[in-house]
Amino acid sequence: MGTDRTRIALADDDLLFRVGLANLLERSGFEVVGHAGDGAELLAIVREHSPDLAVIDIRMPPTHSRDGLEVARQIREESPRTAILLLSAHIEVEHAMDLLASGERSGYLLKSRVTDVDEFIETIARIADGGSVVDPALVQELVSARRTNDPLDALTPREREVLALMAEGRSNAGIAQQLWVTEGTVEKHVHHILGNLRIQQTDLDHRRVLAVLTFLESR
Amino acid sequence: MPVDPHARHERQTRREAALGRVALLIARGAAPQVSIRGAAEEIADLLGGEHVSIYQDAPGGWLTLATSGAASPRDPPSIVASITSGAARWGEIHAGSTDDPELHGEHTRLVEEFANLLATTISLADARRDLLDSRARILAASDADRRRVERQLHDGAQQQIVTLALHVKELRASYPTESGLQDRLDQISSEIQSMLEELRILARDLHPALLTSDGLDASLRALARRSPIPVTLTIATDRRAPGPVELAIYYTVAEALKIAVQSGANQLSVTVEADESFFRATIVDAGISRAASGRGRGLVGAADRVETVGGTLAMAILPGEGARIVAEVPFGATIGRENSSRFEPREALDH
Repeated sequence: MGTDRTRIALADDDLLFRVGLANLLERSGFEVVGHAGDGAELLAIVREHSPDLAVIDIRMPPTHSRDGLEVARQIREESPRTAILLLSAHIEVEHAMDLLASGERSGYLLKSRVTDVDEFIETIARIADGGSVVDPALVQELVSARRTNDPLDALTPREREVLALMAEGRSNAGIAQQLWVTEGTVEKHVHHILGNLRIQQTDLDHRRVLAVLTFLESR
Repeated sequence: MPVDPHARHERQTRREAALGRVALLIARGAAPQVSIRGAAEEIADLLGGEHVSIYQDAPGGWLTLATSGAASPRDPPSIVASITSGAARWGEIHAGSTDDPELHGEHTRLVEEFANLLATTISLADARRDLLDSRARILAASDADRRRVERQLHDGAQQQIVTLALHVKELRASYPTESGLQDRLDQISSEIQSMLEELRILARDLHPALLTSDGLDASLRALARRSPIPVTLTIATDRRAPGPVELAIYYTVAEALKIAVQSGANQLSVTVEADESFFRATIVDAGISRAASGRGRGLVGAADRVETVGGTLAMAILPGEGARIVAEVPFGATIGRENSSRFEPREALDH
C-alpha cells in the first residue's frame, strides 16, 4: 500500500490547463489516470479507474455555471472512496457548503492556488488522507465579515487564528505546526472556541470544517 | 336662421374649456384610455347629450374604447372623425348631431379637434413605450456584454494566465538550483499571482456570477459579507424572478450599500420578500443621517434598472435615523425580449 502513488483524475474544459496540471502532478509523484474536458468524460474515467482523487473545475460544459458541483455529487454516489477537489475562478461559501455537505474528503480551492505548487501538493495530500479543505481566501472573507453583536468578538486574536485554520481543514497537529505551539495548547484553544461559539464537539476533521463554516456563515 | 352671437360665443368658451381639460389629462401623463374616456364624456356634454363612441381600429377588428351620452347611437352617425397615428388611421370618433346646418358644422369641427387631441396622446404613449422598450434593450445588451466579458475573464484570460504560471513553475523545476534563475522565476510567479488576484476582483465586480448560478439569496449574502459595515439580511422568499428583475434588486441593494457607507451609516438592514404579484426589497440604513439632498443621486442607476423592469423605486429620509429605500417589481413585468435565456451561446469563447 505504502508504495502506491495517489491516483488522480482531472476535469477542466481547457486542454492546455489540464495538461499543464497533469504534468505538474506527475512531476510531484502522483499518478494521473486520465483527464477530461467535461463532467461526462470525467465520470467515465472515474468508473473505469476509481481514482483516489478527482480534481474538477466548477465551470464546465454544458452550462458553465456550477456543473462541477453536480459532477462531484454524482462521483460521491458512484465512487464514494474518491476524494474531490473542486477548483474555481471565484470562491463562494454556498458552493463550499454544498460540496462539504456531499461528503468528507472534500476540497474547494481557487484555481490560481495550483501555481503555488508546494502548498497545492500538500493540500492534495491532506484531502487524499481524509481531510477537508476550503480556500483560505474564503475563510478570511467569512472571518472578517462585519456583524453586529458578533460572537467572534468574544474570541482573542489568537483564537480567531486557530478558528480560521480549523475552517481551512487543518487538524490540531497541523494547526500546532503552523502556529509554532504545542498540540496541547491548540487543543485548549479549540476547546474554548467550540464551547464559546456553541459548535458541536466532533472528532471528524470533515465535520469540524463544516460546523465551523456553517457557524461563520450564519453568525 | 338668425345667428345669436352671444350663444355662439358661450358655446366656444365651453368647447375651449372642455378641450383644455382633456389636454391637461394628457399633459399630466394619464393613461390613453383615461384621456379617451374623458374626451367621450366632454364631447357628449358639448353635443347636448348626443351619443358618442370612440373606436380603435385594432388588428383583430374594431374595439369600442369609450361611449357616452344617449344610449343608442344614430345610424348612420352624423359625425365621423378619424384619429390618426403617424400616417395611419388609428381609430374613429362617432357622434350624433342636430340637422341644423350651422350647429352641425360647429359640432363636426369640435369632434375633429378632440380627434386631433387624442391623436397626440396616442403618439405620446407609443413614443413612451418605444422609449421604454429601447431602454430595456440597451440595458439587456449592456448586461449581456458585462456577463460575456466576466466569463471571458474567468474562463479565458484568467485560465490562460494560470496555465502560464504553471509553465513558469515547470521551467523552474527543470533548471538546476545553482543556475540563479530560480529567484527570477519566483519573482515572475508572484507577479502573476497578484495579476490573477486583480483579475478575479475585476471580473467579480463586472457581473455577479453567483446571481445567475445560485440566485438572489446567495449573491446578496456574498455582497453582505464583503460589506465594510454590518448588513442584516432577511430573505423571506426563495422564488426565482426573471434575470433582469433579480439583477435590478441586486444592484439596488449594492448601490444602497455603497451610499450608506459613503454617508456614514453604521449598519444596513435589507429585506427581500415576494407575494403573488410583487418582488420587494426594503433597505434601511440606520445610523448617522447626513445631508439628505445628495443621497438619492447615487440611486439613479438602480432606479433606471427597477423602472426598466416595470417597477418603482422610492426613497424616504427617516428623521434622525437614516434612509429607507423600497424597490418594488411586479412579477408580470414586461421585460426586454432578449432577456429570457439564462445561458447565452459561448461562441465568442470557443476558439
